[in-house]
Amino acid sequence: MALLHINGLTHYFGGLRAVYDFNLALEEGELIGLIGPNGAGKTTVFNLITGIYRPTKGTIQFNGQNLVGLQPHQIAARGICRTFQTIRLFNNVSVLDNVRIAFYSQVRSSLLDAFFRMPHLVSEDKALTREAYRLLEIFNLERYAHELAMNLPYGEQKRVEIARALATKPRLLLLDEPAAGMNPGEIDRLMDLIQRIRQEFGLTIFLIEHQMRLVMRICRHIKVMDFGETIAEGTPEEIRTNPRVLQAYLGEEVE
Amino acid sequence: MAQWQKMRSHLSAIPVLAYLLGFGIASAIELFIGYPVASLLGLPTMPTLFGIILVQQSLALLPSAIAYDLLIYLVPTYIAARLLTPLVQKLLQKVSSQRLMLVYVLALFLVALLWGGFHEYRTMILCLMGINFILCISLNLVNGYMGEFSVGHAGFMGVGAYIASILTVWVFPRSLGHLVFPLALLAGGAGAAIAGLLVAIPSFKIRGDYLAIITLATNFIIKNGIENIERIGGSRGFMGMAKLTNVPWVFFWSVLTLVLIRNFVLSPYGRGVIAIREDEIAAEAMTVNTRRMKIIAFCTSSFFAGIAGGLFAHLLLYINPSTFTLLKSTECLVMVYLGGMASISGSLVGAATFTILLEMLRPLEVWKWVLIPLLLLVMLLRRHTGLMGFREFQFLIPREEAEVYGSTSH
Repeated sequence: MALLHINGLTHYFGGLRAVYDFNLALEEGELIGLIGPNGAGKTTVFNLITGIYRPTKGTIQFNGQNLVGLQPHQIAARGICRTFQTIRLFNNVSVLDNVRIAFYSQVRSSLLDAFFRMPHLVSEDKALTREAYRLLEIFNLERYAHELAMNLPYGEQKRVEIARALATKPRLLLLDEPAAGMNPGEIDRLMDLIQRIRQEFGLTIFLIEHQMRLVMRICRHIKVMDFGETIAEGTPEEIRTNPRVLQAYLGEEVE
Repeated sequence: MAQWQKMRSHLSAIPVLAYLLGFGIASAIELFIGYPVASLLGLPTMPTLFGIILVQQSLALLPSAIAYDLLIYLVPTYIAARLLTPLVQKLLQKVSSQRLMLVYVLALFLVALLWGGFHEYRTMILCLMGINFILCISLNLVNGYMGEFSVGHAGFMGVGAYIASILTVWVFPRSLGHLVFPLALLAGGAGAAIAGLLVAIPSFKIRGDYLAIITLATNFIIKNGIENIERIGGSRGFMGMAKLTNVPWVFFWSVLTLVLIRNFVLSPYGRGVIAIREDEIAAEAMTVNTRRMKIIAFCTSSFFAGIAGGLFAHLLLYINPSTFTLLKSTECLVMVYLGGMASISGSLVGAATFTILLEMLRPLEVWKWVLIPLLLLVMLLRRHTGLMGFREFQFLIPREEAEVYGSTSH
């Protein structure tokens, strides 16, 4: 049984077909990549999985459970977390609190406990805070813990986003263009990081990327989208030589 | 310049608590020698609000009023604060940070009673200050912490005022007075919280300007609704309440509001509310149940506005629908943005400053509504987060969060 099972996923924005008949069976522990030109519908696929949009047609099953119709926070609490193409940190909040916010669904104390600041809420919160510091250490961010997220350099902000996503305890991590705006050195470090957290946290990873270098190196399996349709899939070698992929990216005429 | 710096560092070395107690001692002294000193200085009566009212009557009294403030308040406060400093510092070291807030609360209560407990006008000012604080901090929860723009806070205040008044006048036996007063206030708060749902539900789908329009509409619906219910007086208003609001009650409800809202915003749930302000989509993606938190925040906010309304009604003993119009809502907004966004300390500062400002500018009549927005404008241009925006006084923050709060302020 696949961890994430998507069948015939289709989405229209008005008359515009953004995603058409997208299928995927993602096994636990896999790392696969989704590539395609701008506007191919890649981020829409992520938005459909995470519940931001409700699909026009098709089914999404995670761990055997149907996800269609659930609220985004419910999907996130079930173990699918994501980062965003353009960084979406909580800017006027400390880096530590960016991570602590993501513990929301794991809080056991009730709302009433919160209003009266009951001792068990305080101790639970302390434990969560320690956990947050631990995550920040893994990402080498502990020295920024009390800094406002918006004051961090771009690369660090990207790492905070991944740390924050991991705080939700995901089984499946969706990374939307993690290497966007990074230089080659930073991309190398990012690749190491992705591999490391994948092992350390036992993650399944699904990533969208424009940087071919990154996708080709770390993904065993790649899907290619263009105009909402899946035009190719396979190993990096197969993708590199696939004429339809070349056409989509370079606009060559293929007879 | 150097001397100025020296004086500043000298003055800031004295703990806030010592100043507070010093002011209490000064107020106690005033009780005994206030009248003689005032007549010696040639003032017609004892200054009730630091001479502000007297100066409004005749500008010639300004030097005497200043002399009075120096003699009665500033000098004794300073001397007492200096003398108390070693004692207070010892106390601050001994008391755990959890109890520290209690110490401040007790000291503040004592000072409030000593300064204002024996003058009708001062009692009024203190009560208004407390009511304004409850309004300010509750609105701050929505506008500051959650980042929505509610402009109809007075509507919820009105709901609370009417429900509480109807209960104490018609339902509860008058002889029970203070015993049932909390019940009446809670019922008013609950009614206002239900009205808060009216705003929470559209907030699921809309944000920003559109939500502001909806809160505006809610304010009008409530005001015009009450106006059209003849049974409760319609536009003529409602009266017959006993004077139940006094300094101890206002103080109790202010502290309760402060503690509950502080606890909430410092909890994991409160962080969820802050996440909504920062980025709603990201908040959802990070498992925050934004719908639930919006309902909680809007209802809590309007609940306390309702409590404030009940206190207000039993202070002025007369309410009518036009008390709870957009103008009153604007007053709440001014307090929030003056004091500081997303700050409990800011709500304290904002409410206190605003209440006194309103008294100071009373002779200007309608012109004060030109001056106050102007002040706000200058304030927002110079320091757009307000006096204490995103910052807190240390004593308001529990120890385990102190580290986090100490350095995120900017």
